[in-house]
Amino acid sequence: MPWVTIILSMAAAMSLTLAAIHFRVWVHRRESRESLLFTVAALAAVATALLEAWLMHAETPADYSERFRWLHLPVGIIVIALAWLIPVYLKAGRAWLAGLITAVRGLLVTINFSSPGNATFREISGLRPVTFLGETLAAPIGTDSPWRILAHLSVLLLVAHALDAGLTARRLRTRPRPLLLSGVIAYAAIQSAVFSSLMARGVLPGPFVGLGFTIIVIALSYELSNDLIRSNQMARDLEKSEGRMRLAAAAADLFLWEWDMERDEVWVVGGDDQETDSPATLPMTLDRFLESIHPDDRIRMQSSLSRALAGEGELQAQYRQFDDSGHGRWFSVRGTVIRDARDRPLLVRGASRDITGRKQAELELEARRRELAHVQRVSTVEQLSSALVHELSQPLGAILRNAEAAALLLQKEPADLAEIRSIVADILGDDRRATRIIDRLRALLKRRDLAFEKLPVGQLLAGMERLVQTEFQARGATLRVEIEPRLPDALGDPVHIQQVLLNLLSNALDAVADEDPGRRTIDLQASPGESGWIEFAVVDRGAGIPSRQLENLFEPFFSTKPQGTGLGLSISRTITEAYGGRIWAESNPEGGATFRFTIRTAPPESGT
Amino acid sequence: VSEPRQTVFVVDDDASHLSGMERLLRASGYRVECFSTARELISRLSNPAFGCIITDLKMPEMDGVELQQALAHSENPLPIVFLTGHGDIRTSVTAMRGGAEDFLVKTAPAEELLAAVDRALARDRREREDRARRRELRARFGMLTGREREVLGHVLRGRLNKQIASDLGIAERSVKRHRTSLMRKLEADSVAELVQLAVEAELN
Repeated sequence: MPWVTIILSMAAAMSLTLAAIHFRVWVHRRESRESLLFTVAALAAVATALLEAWLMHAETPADYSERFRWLHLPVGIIVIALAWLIPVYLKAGRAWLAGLITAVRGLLVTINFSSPGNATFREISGLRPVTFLGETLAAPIGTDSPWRILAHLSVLLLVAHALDAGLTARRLRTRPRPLLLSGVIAYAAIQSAVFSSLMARGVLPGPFVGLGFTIIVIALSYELSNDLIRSNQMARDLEKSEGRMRLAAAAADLFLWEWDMERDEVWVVGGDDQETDSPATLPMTLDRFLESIHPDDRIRMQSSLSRALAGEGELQAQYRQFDDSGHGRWFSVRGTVIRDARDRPLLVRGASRDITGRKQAELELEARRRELAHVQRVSTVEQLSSALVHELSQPLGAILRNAEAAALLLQKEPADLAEIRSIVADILGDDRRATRIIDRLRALLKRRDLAFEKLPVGQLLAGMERLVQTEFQARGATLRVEIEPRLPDALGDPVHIQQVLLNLLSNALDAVADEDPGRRTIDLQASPGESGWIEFAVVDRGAGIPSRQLENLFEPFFSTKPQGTGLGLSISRTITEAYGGRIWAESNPEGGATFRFTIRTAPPESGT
Repeated sequence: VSEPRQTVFVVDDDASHLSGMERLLRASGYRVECFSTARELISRLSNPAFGCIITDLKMPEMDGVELQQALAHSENPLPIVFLTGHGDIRTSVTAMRGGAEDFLVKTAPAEELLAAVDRALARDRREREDRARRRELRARFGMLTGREREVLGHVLRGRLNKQIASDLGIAERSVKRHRTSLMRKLEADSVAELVQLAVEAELN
């Protein structure tokens, strides 16, 4: 039986099969470079085994020399492929060693094809028949090539490279069993070297490197298939956990999405459309997603997204989307930006939640609150109307007196036209003054939507001071306004904030009504609160509040005054809390009470 | 004796209203002096003044009622017409009790205002005459001797000469003499006139 030929053919066939399998893997997973390198190495191993069988059946020394020369090509390819496979697969090792091996082996192959003979034998003088495993084969007799040393060097380097990478990988735990691979490579390399020298001494008809390589290919294939099994297991686990996640998402009315920034694809999983159990991932681009959002909410969503991408916190927004039947639904979205090692955003991953129901309740509550605030505003206006009517009587009285005087002046001959002219100018001025007062009254009465504005605190409190001035005068009280310098602007609806201030000031006026005139001073202060907040305080020197009442003060219909509605402070709290702030009362150590509330600061102007 | 010219003193913290007031009163033939605070008017009134005051009720620092109280104890309390933005019952009651001549809303027509001013000026004249007469009578009573004053007290209580003589322990003739002297000094012709003079001079 020609065992040598059979063994080598079997080794070739095995390598070819494994090459085919891993080539397929590589076609599906282009990023798996180890599969590509393995395929190359395995194909070269096929060529090596076949060439060796051919070599050992050479008839003449010239044939043998020529076939040997060709044998160098696949062997070189295997050595180089292994040199690169090691760092790729083990995720360890030194790239310069792989480079050096490539250079040495490349040089050897070049010399092999450009010098007489080949890189192993300078000249083969004759062939000696050797009977080996039941086959008579040709063994070479000749002189060694001086370049043979390069082949040994490359093998030594490969062994060193494999062991170094294996030890590093074991230390860093980049792979399980790293020493198996490097051990097999080292063993096969040493075996080839030993067989090669046995061949040189004429003991063996050929170097039998193909056998060593086949061992490597089998070991490698075993390792790679373990990887495949592992990733299969992972895929199954992933599917299970995805199923669980979908269930949780469906239960929580959530749907999950991921925006791959590089490919500009948005993947959506879950949500209400999830009636079939199929993994309903619908790819779409960011632009199409943004287009599906209600135009009013789009800019907010975009700006939140770009803030998140710029590294300023999470993506967080609420938006409306129209479903197929044209009904708008509210969604709340939260997301995180995933970044690469260089901190560049790679993808955004998040969860959206259908909050249509909650939003409707919120809007309803908001409407209620506005109604209530309006009712209360009307009663506040009633309180203030006497002051405003008094204020209005000034310009109206002045207009009347001036007009009457002008009528009298016109009856005289000659009429004092210069005087009449200045009277008319004054009448016009007073008319404008009256209009402004009426406008203020109207602004107080008007019912409207929340308008968030930047409110310079100085202006706000100056307007407040004007509004209560006459009331304070009438009650013989003094208002002291103190604003800390460099206070940022507040954010809110001016009417609402004035309303809270009015309530507190009007309570303070009641509190000091029975005090000596010297104690009827009320302080209105604005100072920075916690970061992002402004704290307003109204300080009186009245009788103060019993400590057990401090917490009930803000309950609806709680009142200590016989004619109080008990709504003022409750509505002040509703307003303050609608803005996310808080309101509370304290007793002053020197007597009287202090009411404080907080309002958010306006975000600083961007770009200025 | 020529009647001194009366002046309308106007106080209002609202400059525009003040000047409208001044124009109307001047055009209507009154002498006017304007003040933007009550304190300025008080310091002006430390000099002799005749006429009346028109003041805004609500003013910073010192309001109309406080002005009224400050002037009530002065030598020369001028009648006051109050102006207000709107009818405030509590304040108007206080003001009227304090002797306000009138209480008007600022938007009252000129006729009402001028009528109130005329009434106030007439009252000023009348009160000034009353005050002058009172001063004169008090001067007359001041001329009496101690004994004459004692006798006067008894006469006013309706005692007869004989009773007075026994009460004071003096002769009835002496009583008659004192009585004649005091009647002459007080320029009274009868006991009834004497009683009236005493009431007018606000003795007791």
